[in-house]
Parts: sequence; structure tokens; C-alpha cells
Amino acid sequence: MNRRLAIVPVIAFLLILAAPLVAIAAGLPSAPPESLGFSPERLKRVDALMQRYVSEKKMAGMTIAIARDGKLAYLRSEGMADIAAKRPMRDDTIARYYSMTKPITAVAALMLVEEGKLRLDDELSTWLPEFKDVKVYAGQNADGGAKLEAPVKPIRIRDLFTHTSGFTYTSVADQTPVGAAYEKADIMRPDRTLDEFSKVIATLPLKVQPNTAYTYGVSTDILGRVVEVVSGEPFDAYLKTRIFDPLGMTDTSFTVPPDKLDRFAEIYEMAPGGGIQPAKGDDARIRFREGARFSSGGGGLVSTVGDYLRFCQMLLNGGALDGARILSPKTVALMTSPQLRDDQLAFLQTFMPGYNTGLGVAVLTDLGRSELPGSVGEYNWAGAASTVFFIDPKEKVIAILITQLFPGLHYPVREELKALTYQALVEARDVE
Amino acid sequence: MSNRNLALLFLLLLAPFPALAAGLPSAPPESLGFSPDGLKRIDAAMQRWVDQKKLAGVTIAIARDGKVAYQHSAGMADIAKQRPMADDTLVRIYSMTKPVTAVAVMMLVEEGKLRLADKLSDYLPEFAEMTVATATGTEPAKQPIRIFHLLTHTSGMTYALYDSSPAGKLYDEKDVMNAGRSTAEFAKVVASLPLVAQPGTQYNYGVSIDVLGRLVEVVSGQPFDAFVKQRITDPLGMNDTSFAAKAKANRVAELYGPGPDGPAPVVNTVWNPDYVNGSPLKSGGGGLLSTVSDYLRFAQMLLNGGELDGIRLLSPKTVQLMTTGQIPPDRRGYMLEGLPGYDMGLTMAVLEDVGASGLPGSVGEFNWAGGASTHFFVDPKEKIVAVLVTQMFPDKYRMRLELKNLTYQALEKPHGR
Repeated sequence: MNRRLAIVPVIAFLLILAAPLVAIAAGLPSAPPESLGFSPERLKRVDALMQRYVSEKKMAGMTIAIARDGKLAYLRSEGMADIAAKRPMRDDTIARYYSMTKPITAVAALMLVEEGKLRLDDELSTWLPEFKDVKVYAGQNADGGAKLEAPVKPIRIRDLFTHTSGFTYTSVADQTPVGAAYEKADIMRPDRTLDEFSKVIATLPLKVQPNTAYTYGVSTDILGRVVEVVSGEPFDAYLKTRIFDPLGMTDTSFTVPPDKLDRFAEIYEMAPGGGIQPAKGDDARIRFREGARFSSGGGGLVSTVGDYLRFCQMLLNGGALDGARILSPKTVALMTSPQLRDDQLAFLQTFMPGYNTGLGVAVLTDLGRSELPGSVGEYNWAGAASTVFFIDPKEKVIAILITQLFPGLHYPVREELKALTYQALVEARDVE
Repeated sequence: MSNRNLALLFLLLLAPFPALAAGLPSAPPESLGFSPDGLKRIDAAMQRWVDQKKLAGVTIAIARDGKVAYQHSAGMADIAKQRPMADDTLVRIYSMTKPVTAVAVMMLVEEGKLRLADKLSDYLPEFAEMTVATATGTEPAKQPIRIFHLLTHTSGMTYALYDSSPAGKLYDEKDVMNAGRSTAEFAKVVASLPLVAQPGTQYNYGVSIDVLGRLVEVVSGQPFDAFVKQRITDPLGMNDTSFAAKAKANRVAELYGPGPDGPAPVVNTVWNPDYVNGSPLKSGGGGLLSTVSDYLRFAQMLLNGGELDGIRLLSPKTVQLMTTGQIPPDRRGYMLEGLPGYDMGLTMAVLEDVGASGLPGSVGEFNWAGGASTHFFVDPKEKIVAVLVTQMFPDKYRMRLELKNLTYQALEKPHGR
């Protein structure tokens, strides 16, 4: 055999060996924290936080990743992914990212905007005619029935990004009669397609007039349906071919394939007597499993820290990663710019003072009001199972905290992730 | 001269240098962008204040880029004893203690032991059920006092000194600042009194930072003075900063008030307790003695983003947060009049509007003052730290205005334009 040819299988073998190494590095290459401006000593406080949550049985397990300039400064997993199965939390554990799906759906829709197929100014009903005659809740009639009004302004595509469509969530998040109507319609049923889901939502009244006030709700799920209609592709297939495959996000999907179930974390909730227990609701049991049909753009994805780091790094880079261009820098700038007036933001600012909304993320506009260290322009979002991420474009920092605990706002994970990341960042670039 | 005597002389010559090293190194003012002629006006102004019997004695120090461009004293630290004001004179810095306490609190925040959003009553349960004074009585507090409120003076707590409202009068009756109480007892007295405003609604200068001193004790498990010494003043080499002068009693300046014939000693008031032996109350709002050199080091640490000479107390992003405006204009109350153009950071005022301030300066400059007319400011754009110490209680002549004007008029080469 020719010597030069003999080396080919060796190279192939080396490449096969290298492939898992990339995965183990959890999405991005690593570098010594000092070289990225982090104090290794102060990063130990992040260890301490994770150990505290786990040892006090507040959470089963947790992973935190902190990157700067495209390199991982910190990555650590603590505790268990599944206590009963004795599976430890690992850097490649697959978890339910819930509302951290929203920025991905926003990117998917903005790609169609860049292609000129969709405009933020388009009326929703031009793409989804079922919303042509949607009504707005306006209080109770004398007979106890709901008083309904016509919308003053139409719902536009931009309203779906900024949560100003008037859509809401079920009564867990919304105690009004509209929330109750959502609950009764069982809107998040995993056996419905996006098309069927959208048609159910169109029969329900809006909570408030479109384009008036930030109202957290199913807007981003509807946006996923818009992506299907505009692209002509099923939403899950679109995400796979247009975002996950190009970015190498190999563990991100709406359902966990059977061969990856041994990496899928259990989901926990607060136990009545203290501590935690496996969550009981159907939602976390049936969704995310093979057979579920509902590709929820508002909260349906499972992912890993490595995958989500790559998504974040693409945004931080202005829309591209490792040669894969997803969006233009100016589109990412628009996506991460404040969109609403202060008087429209009351709901968002009750739990995130100092923030406005971008397109699919919250954006820090007023550092002083946020009560946390940070940079103006930092953007983030969180998920219902207590996960959170943030991106600081001035400091070039990405941080992600993953766990699997309901409800999402029970522990101040966003605040702790920000506080711990920034206290360890000893070489800052934006401090004047 | 024998070799031994020469060695001794050499050591004696060296002796003043370690004392200087307690502050910051010096450099020629021209090399730091200051006009020597402009700086001479500061000499003249200080002598004028002394000659006009406004102040007994005064020291001003101005540093840039970490180096002292100007440091000068005039007048007396103690007129009766004919002790001149000197670089190492110990002075009551009163409310310039507050930023030191804020640093202590933020160190605990960085360790993850405390959050700004936390309720005060999570750590000091005596603050769980507060009331607010009204014209006719009291009403319950509508929201809890949070750590953030204390650091921005929006807790609703007040002082007896500046407040003639019903709440202020009660503070006076209860002698809230009585230094004979321990810091723990002090906090319980404050908790028993109604607030002057609903928490989170309005700036009211008051005992918030003293209560934070107690919070540091509870969260750290250390007495407040021990925490400040071990974690802040010792690491930064602030060797003359403490709650008690002890063996340094002969370096403490006399405290003066405005008398009919110039500065008159102030004795035996609640504001001038025993600074030599110390008091049970370790007042985080105003209890420290310090020197101009020590405070320069503290201020330089802030300007450096939390670090000095390799000792890191805070991260740059934490210092940035501390020196960022935090409360909207509609909550600033009488601060709007007292500090026009300024927003409130964490215990320090932050300049947001140079024009409205009526003084030269830079957006982002931050400062605070002490009850005996002391003042400091830090300008992160120009990399300037300026400190003025004297002992005239209260701040009748508004020395803040003098220090800012004199410093900037001497600055020939600004970075910030």
C-alpha cells in the first residue's frame, strides 16, 4: 500500500476521535478564565452557589456556563439530572428550555423577514386568516357574559415579537376571564398541530387591545405558525434545516429521540413538605416525547448547554458562527434594541425593572433601575423550568444557567447568574 | 560621622516615605494635566477661609491617574492647642463613612450572601412590620424595605437632624443616633419608629446606611468595625481609618461649629461622641475617623474599578452599578434642590446633567460629603479624585461647590472632550 494512501484511514480515525471532543467542549472552545478577564478565585463563588442549591435540596442539578470572546471561561455541572435513576447532571444533559425557545423562534421569523417574504408591519390575518375577526375582551356584561369589542388596530407581526398582540397565557399566569378561557380550551395540548392550535387561539378573545401593552402570552407560538405558512415548511423541519444544522445544535429539537432519553433530565417541582419531587403535570410528561405534535415556538424545545451557547454566540457575533450566517448584524441589532414605550411595559418591569423588550428577548435600558450589575444593551430571557441566559454585547459575555424546576420564578436564578458572572469579571470594558 | 550614625540618619530620612506611601504616590502637576498656577489659587482659597475664620483648618488633596497632583493644608487642627492642620490629621468624616459601608455591603452581595432585591426583614426581623407617619398618626408600610432602598435612601428612614416632620420628631425624642447603644440596639430602636415615607417612593436622607452596618454584622457574623478593618481598611492600607483613635488621640482634630468669633469647639452633642475610645454604636452612616491620605486610597480604589495596588475588593461591574444613577426624578424629593443635576447611586450622588449642576464636571462624576464640611468626588472620565477635609459642623459654607470649582479650574488638559 502506498504510504500516502495509508495515512487516509488514520486521518479519518482522528476525525472520528475529534468529533466527540468538540461535543465535550460544550459548544464553544475553552480558554483559561484569566485570559478572558475572569478571576478564577471569584469563579469559585459560582461553584459555591450551585453546591448550595443542590445540597439544600432546592434543585436536583444545575449547569452554569460562562463564555467571553467566543470562548468558555467556566462550565460546571452539579447534582443530578434524575435523582431516582441516579443520573448525574452533565454538560451534555438534555433539558426543557421552555421560553428560551422564544429567541430561536424570533430568529426563525427574522430570517424570513430578511428574505423579503415577511414584514414586521404585515397584519397577522394576511398570513393566518383565522384571526380576521378576532375580538377583544372588554369586561363583563350585565348577564355575566363577556363583553367583546373589535380591535382598534390590527395585530401585526411585530406585535407577536413584542408581546403586544393581546394574546395571553392560561390561568396559571393570567387570573382574568380570558386566562380562564385559555385554560378551558386547553390551548397547549400536545396532540394538536400548530395549525390546529392557531385556530383554537383565534376563537378566544384578546386580553387587551393590540399594540397597547406588553402582555406575556402565546404570541411566539403563533409566530411559529406564521413561519410554517410563510416558509411552506413544518416549523420543526424549518428550525432544523435553517438554524440547528447550520449552527451544529445537534441536541435541540421538540421531542427527545429514544436514543437520547438517557441524557434527558427529569423535571421537578416544589414538594408540599419542602424539598423537591418529580413534577406531576401531563405537560412535562407528554410534551417533548416522540408522538407529541405541538411544535411550540413559545416553549417547546429541549436543548443542551453546548447547543444553546452556540445559538447565543451566533447572536453575539451579529448573526453568524463558524462561517454559518443566520442573520445580518443589523437584524440582530434590531432584534436586541428596545421596542416599546415605558408606559407599555408595566408588566415586564414588575419583574425586570430597567428592561424593555426587543424582538424575542428583554433588553437592559436602565442599569440603575435593574438593581444588578450589568451593561446597557444586555439582553436575556428565561424558561419556565428556572433556566436563564443573558448576553452582554459590550463585555462580549454569554452566561447560561440550566436546571429543571417548576415554577420558574421561585428562585432568583436570573439575578444570581448576573450577580455571580459580573463579580467574577475583573477586566471589564464598559465601566464608564 | 560614624557609619552607624549615617545609617541612622538614612533611616530617619526614609521615615517620612512610608507615611506618604499610605496615600498615593505624587507626580508633578503639569505631568498630570494640571496648571501649577491654577493650583496656587487653591492655596490662596484655603488661606482665605482660615483668615476669614470660616474654617479652623483645611486640607485638600487632588490626584489624577492614581498620582497626587496637589496636597496642601492650611490653618489649625486644634486652635486652643495650636496644633496645625496636617496631612495626617484625623478627622470625623461623618457621612463619607457611607460609601465605605456600601462597599462592605456589595462585597457580601458579590459573595452571593445578600441581594439588593432582598427584604431587610429577611436578615433583621425587627423591620418586618413597619408603619409610616402621616399627619394624623400612622399607616402600615405598603411594601417591604429592601436592601436596594437602604443603599439609595429610599427606605423611608430619616434623621432627626434635618427633619421636623412627625417622624423626624420621634427620631429626636428617641435620640436615635445615641452612640451609647450597640449597633444591634440601634437597629431595634429604628425599627420601632414610623418611617417618614412609604418604602421605595422617595429619597429621604437618614439612618439607612447605619442600618446597613447592622446588616453587615448579621450577614457576615462579624462586628461591623471588625469587618471594615479586616476586609476594607487593612487590605487598602487605610491605617488611620477607624471608629476609635485610641493611641492616635493627639492627631484628632477638634470639631468646630460656627461661633460668633469664628470656629467654636463643639462638645458633648450626639454628633460628637467619644472618638478616642470609641462608642458601642459603630455607625455605618457616619462613624469613621480618617485622613485625607486614607480616603484618597479608598476613592482611588473606586476609580480603579474596585482594586488598588493589586488588592481587589469589588469587581468593576459592581463599582459601575454603585456609581450609576438609580432613582427617577420623581422619587428624588429634596435631593433635587440640594444636588441639582445628580441622580442617586448606591450611597453616592452621580452627575447626570452638568448644566443643571451649575458646576464644571463630567457626567458620571460621583461624590459624597460629611457633616463636618468634608467632601470627596471621583471623576471617572478625567480619572480625578479630590478630597477636602476640615471639621466645621454643619457644612455652612457648602465646601462641595468650592472643591469642584477649584479642582476643575486648575485642570488644563481634560480627557473628556
